[in-house]
Amino acid sequence: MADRKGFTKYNIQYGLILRSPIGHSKLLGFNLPNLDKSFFILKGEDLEGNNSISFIDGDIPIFASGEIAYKGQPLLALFGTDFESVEIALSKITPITEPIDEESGPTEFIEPYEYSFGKEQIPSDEELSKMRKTESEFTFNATLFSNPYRYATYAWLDGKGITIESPSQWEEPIRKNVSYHTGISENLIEIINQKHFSKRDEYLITPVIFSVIAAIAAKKTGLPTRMRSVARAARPQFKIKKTTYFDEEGNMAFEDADMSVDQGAYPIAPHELQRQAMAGLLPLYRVGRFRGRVSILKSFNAPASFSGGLGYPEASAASSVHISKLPMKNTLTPIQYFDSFDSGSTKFNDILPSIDISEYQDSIEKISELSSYNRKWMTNSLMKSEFGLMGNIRGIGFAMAVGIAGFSTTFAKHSPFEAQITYTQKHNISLNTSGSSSRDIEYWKSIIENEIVEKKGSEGAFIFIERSSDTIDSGPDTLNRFTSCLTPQLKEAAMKIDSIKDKEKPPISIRFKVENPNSPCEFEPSGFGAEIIELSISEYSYKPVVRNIWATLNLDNVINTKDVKERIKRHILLTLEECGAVLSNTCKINLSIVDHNKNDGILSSIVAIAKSMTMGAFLNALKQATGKESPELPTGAVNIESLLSGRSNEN
Amino acid sequence: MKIECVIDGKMLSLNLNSNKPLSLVLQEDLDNSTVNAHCRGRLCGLCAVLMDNEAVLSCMVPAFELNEKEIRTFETFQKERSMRDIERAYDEVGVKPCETCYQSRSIIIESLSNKLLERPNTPSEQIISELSVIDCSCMDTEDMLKIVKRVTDLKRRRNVRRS
Repeated sequence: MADRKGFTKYNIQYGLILRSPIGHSKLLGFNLPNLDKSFFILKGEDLEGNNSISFIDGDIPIFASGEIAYKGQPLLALFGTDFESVEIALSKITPITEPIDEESGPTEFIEPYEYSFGKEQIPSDEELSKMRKTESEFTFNATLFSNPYRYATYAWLDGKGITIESPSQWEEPIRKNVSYHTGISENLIEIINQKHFSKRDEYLITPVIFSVIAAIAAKKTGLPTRMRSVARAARPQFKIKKTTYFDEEGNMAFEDADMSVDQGAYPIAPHELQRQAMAGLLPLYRVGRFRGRVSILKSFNAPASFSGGLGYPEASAASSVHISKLPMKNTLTPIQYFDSFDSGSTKFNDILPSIDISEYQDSIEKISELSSYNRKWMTNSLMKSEFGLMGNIRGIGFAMAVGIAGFSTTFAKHSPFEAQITYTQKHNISLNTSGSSSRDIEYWKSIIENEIVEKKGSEGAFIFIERSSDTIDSGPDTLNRFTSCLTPQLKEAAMKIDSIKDKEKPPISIRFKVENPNSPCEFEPSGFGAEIIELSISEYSYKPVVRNIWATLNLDNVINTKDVKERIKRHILLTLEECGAVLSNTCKINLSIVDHNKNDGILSSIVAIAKSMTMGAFLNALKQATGKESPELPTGAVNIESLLSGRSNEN
Repeated sequence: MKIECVIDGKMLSLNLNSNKPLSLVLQEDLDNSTVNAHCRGRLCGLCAVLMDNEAVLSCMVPAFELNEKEIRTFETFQKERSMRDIERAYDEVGVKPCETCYQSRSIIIESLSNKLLERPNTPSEQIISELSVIDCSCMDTEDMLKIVKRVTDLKRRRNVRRS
């Protein structure tokens, strides 16, 4: 591996990015100070070929050129002999801009995705107007997270090739885009992936842009380049409205769900987002007919990254919020109401197979008892307008979620993301994949040992092929793909190898897709979780202070319980932070995991379940504490103060 | 301003702007790879270092305060025995900080466990308030407290064996 030993801080050029201080506007040029020869500027027009990177199915500009699409868009890169002088010089460069008169709101980017299922016909508008209905709304506003953690991207020429060092969740776009912009062949590009922890998929797209800029600078000047950036990630804006219509007998006859997602200036994987979001909108109870609609909007906000899920956690949380609104009488808590549903499965449909909710009702009942949910919910509801000057400011919320992982079956059918398992001549097993976190490798090793080595009692060793230009692109390390999707596919391939390894001469290789392209539904459910959150609003800061968390998860094939518990706890806490919650010093996560040990079951997607149930439970608790039906997320002191004061006006 | 201090075991004589924060001195002048955050004093808590054995946020320490001080960053701390105690405590409690705050949190835990060794009756609230200086929600308070207590316990046992 080419390392950085060849250069010191004295023979390296340091680069920083100038970002747009304003939003959508025309970019006419720059006011540049007199810079000496030690500085080097890179702008959109200096780039060879195209001023954009390609990512999945869309292009994202590297620098703004002619028009600024959003506040914070990279405008140019400045390189110099040290960061301090570059920072000072950069502060003297200002963009010359002109406002754009025709300011328009978000526009539809692609055709809305509509899906419906059920035996009944969709009732006409006239019929619907006569039916009793329950409506709920969910809003998660667009947010830009900027982590103070600064990461470095290095690029240096290495003979005819180039080496890039950067944290990255997906190396392949770095290799492809650097090759495209520098003209260096892909097999001469070496990528060193720095250790990173991605809270909100911030190392998915930005490192590609920075790697390309650093590589171009290194090629133009011949000097090693180091660029510095903070990890930034933008969340899309989600607006979800769900309406359930009841027939005369009180049965749920029809449910309508409408979701709009504003993905910012450059929407990424919008079709996949529609499918993922639709999975979250599906009701976890029997309903005569369901109709869902997901629209993707494009606006002048920062382009949104995956943010730990492609719309599924938000849609699923909205469904939990809706369930809590369904009981019409205050004599039934949401859990009691959910328990009163007919036991049985949800309807099989093209998005998700049927899910036997009754299987999970016991574990829901268990955390309900542990947390005294029913008693606390009733007390809070009854005391809402009676308690103290500010009213009762405590709330308890419940949510549940089904876990899904990875990309949809439709995406998998057309995606090139694969991996390869080989039974070598030396009777070793090698795995060629670009996904390689140490945790995943441990899972894969245990699967291969179970399927091939132990079964036949032969001595075998597992080899993980080092990353190189020959590594097979398995796609981005996001949506728990490598743990939840690649694992069952690998298991199947290992079983195939085991059955033919004594009949055929090695080496035997099986190349397989990371996601299952032959699944009858878009997603395979993997596990189920339920969570209860208890919170109160601080009388001093108006912030929602989480007091207690109870969560239970029913998972399949948990190999390392300790590790799974740690990940669930972490994602619960991160989601609460994202929602604007504050943890009390005595806050405790009471977590229980039920391992189903189903051999054919797949490992669950921790992030999807944890995010969905935490977001839903938090919002339900917040609703009870503030007494408002639709508080928006992320919440904060200002939001809550206005909600509480609004309520006192009403009273 | 000429400043003489010991950073990661090296005696240094640095010519620095007197109000340059230590976090930037480490990142820009000394090329330290373990201090990566720079929140400009917004208390993100991700740049903790040990100054004379006590955890400080390096973005809050101006260069002039470094004179004749001993600084230990995670670069050397990770090789010390105390770090192995902390790693053992992470393992035993079953939670580990995320990669973003791992270095800073470990350094703060080290400083707190030293305090607890000296003053065993330090109230939990004080420990919690010092731990909550890190603006990263990857661990809950109860687990953090358990880790600090476990590290202190491991150190105490070793001290008893030595004496």
